[in-house]
Amino acid sequence: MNIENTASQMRKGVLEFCILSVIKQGEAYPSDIIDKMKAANLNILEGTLYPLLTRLKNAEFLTYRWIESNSGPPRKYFSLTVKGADFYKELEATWFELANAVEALTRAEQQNTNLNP
Amino acid sequence: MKQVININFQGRVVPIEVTAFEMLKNYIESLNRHFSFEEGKDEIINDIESRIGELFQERITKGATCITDSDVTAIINSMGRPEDFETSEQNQNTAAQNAQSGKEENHQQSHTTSGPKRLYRDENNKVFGGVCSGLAHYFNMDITLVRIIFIILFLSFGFGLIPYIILWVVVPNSADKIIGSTRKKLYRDNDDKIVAGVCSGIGNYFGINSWIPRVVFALPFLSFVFRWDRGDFPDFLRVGFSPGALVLYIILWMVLPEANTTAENWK
Repeated sequence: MNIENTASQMRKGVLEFCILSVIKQGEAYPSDIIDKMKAANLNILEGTLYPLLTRLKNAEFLTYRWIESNSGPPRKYFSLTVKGADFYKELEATWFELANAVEALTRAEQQNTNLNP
Repeated sequence: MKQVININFQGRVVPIEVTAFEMLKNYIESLNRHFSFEEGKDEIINDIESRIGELFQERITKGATCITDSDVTAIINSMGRPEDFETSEQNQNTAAQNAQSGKEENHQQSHTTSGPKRLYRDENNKVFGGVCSGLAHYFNMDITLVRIIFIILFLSFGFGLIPYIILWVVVPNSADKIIGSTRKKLYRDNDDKIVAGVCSGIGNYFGINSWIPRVVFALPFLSFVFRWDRGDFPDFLRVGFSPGALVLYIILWMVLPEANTTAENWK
């Protein structure tokens, strides 16, 4: 049990949620997704993203179409399927539940440590 | 001073330093190993390759004369090496249960969770109804091989058509589900060809020396020429098999795809 392991376990769970959330805002090209996540200070390697996209697509949560680009061959643009939108809603609910719980717990702990220095 | 070679990468000609090319090749090989148990392996690798190709293109349009070692290093760092990937062993639904078990078990699980094998018509790789590609997936064979079998059945006995139509009607459609992609593929080998690379492609597929299929193809044809020379015309007609090899070769020539992409050539 080390810190990197635990931290990456925590990240893993939310990555899919974040990727789906970016795609939900509109059709996205993988490197757009990377850029948006980077802008939000969540760094992800492209080598991590592509397998995730393929799995989500094979699970029928995502679909893609080829769009011509000026800088070379056509690119894959991903969008959410109906099934994917439902999946996203469930994840979203879970996330807010979890975020509230974590916040409540950590805040309680902070108050405790403040009370008992 | 460094040697520069041209490679055909994702359909584009890329000038690249020999050492940089070695790095790229090793990197793609490491990806192949890393994703070897992944269901959509070919697709993932292809996506990564085409992204790398795009980054190469960017550098060349900006005025670089060739792709250097440092370009490849920078690209590999931004794509990430397999050991840096976070989701390597993750299998969405079962990750928590498997957290304790080893890699091996995890992979087995990801295979078994896909349920019993089903026969589909493969919409993604179809020519007519996707019957052949569906069968190819089901029996874990190369699509082209199945197509050839159907064509031969149809041409020689005429009964390939009816089972095809029945299968077309009866077998469910895969919709847009991508199925299996780790099959060996049959290609014509452009690098080692005499006529069209059919024999060397067959040799590659079965892992045998390309001269074996060459001899098999050439023997009946030679005997045909030999017989014809002697003016033994009716005899050749009765054998009937002799020009068959030529016809089969031409069919294969037309049906088999050429090995074009980098990954295919490396295979």
